[in-house]
Amino acid sequence: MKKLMLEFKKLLGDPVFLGYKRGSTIPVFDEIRSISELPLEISDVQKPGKYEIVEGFRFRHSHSSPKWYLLPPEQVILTISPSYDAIDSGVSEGRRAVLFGVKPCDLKAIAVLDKILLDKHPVYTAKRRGIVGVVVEECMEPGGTCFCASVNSGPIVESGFDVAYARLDKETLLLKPGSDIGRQVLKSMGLERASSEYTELYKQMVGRAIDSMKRKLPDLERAQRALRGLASSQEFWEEISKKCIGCGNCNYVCPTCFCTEFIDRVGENHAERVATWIGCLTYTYGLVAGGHFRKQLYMRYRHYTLHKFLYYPLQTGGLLGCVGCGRCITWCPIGLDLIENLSRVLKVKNVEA
Amino acid sequence: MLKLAIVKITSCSGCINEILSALLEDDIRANYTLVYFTELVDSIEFREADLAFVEGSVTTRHQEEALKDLRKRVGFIVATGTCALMGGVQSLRAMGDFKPESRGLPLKQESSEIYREPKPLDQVVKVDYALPGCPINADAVKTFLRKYYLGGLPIAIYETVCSECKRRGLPCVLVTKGIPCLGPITLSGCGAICPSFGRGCYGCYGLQFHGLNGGKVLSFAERLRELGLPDLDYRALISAYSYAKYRDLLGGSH
Repeated sequence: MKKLMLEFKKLLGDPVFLGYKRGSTIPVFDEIRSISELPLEISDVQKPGKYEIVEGFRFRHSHSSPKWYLLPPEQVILTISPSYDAIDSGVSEGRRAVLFGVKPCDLKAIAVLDKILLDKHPVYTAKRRGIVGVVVEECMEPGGTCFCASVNSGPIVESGFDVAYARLDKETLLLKPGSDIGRQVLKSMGLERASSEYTELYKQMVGRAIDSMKRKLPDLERAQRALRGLASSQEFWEEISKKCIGCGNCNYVCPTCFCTEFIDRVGENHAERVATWIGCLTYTYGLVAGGHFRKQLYMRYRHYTLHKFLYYPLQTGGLLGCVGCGRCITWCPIGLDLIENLSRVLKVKNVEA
Repeated sequence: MLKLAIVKITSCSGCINEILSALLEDDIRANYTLVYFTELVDSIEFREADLAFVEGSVTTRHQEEALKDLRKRVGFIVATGTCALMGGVQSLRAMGDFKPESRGLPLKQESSEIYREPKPLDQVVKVDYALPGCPINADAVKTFLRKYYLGGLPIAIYETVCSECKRRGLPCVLVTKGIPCLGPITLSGCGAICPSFGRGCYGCYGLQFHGLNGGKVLSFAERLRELGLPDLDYRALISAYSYAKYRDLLGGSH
């Protein structure tokens, strides 16, 4: 792992490394300054409404994600003087950075955000353009709330990376290149070509990983058709969102939720316009000049679900807004289960296959 | 110069300290003149004001009448603090055995003139803006006073403490440690102070009531119970600061 980092450093002219960093509590997405900061010797245990760090070597993710870097919680987009002159547009060059050890679902989430924000959102675009390398850790043992295979975003990656690695066990890494940079890095690391024994083991482990994900969407297209059919059923959405309290946690932890509210902070000598994350489950979201367009919580829950599964594909040329990371299930204080709810959609609306 | 009045009814003056802190800013002091503020200004009466902060909840008929009179003389009223918005911590008395005489209170008024259930301001007068918190946050007062002078208002944000926790990147104390935390149903504005020290939110900014109903509050209470909070405590916990909203959603509890 250290070698991998060093080779990237050499080849790409000392970029910063961004990844899941061990902290005093749980890992968060941040700058990695040394190999010892990587969460290599812990695992996470995830259940609906429950998250715990234990000893192990299967860290998947936390509430944090690359979104924290690419589209930070608060983005100062304009600073003005008391006479309304622009002092700063808020957008700086993105740092040259390598994403290190991100997960397949994280990569997919970035692909989704790219479709929506790249070359449109100045802060996102600057940071995203600064990403010069991508190293992905494939998931040989998905987490307790993961369902990436159901939404085609894991547990392994096919494209969009430089190097991907799989931890076959605590000590053994199987690496694969995904670009010219990746091939160059692996070449200068002087690695042996993996024997068929290892590649077979890898294939078996991937198969087991997919099978082990208990949460499954049986058929995405059917689910989408059912959602379309149920879109205007108030009764159904009220029932399905009965326990939801609209706290917005699912929005903030979702690696593809990108909505912001502009907040003007007026100080003594200058004022800032800050784009601040806002969740569509919260009441503020639907509040506009002249009224409110989603007053009832069931409407907000419905919008959240339909956006992820029906509207994102329209915005992104086919990509879902859900990457199957399971964060919304783990970090829901009530432990509401999105997949369970989607399964209910299928039961209620008996659409033909 | 805008004329500012700071009015205190049943409350602890904690919010007033935050307002004072905001008034220490030179640019704010330059634009507002204090016409009424019994803690700082030697005048017990005032004719009119552009703006008034009213701290506290209405607990006597006398206060109710004074507020109605105030409304006629003030252009813009800011309900200040969780007491003014939802009753505040003194509302706990509504859940107990309420006998003002037995507490040795100096009763010039008839005891019937003292309300068992403290009233939020909006039950008595029209309120133009609300600043939640116990106490409110001086930064919110500064922002408000600066924007109000410029002819605007801050956007009213109805989020939960969770949104502030998540934006700060703090690990959720409820999900990671099983600590009972009221953050998911509490109004934002504090900056997630308690969770940043690893303890659960106790709801001092009041219930984030938009979109909640009795069933939802109870399902959250059920979750707290699972986390080891006995049945009796959650009602006191959830209603401690925001009894008036709690009662609207779940009915009175005496």
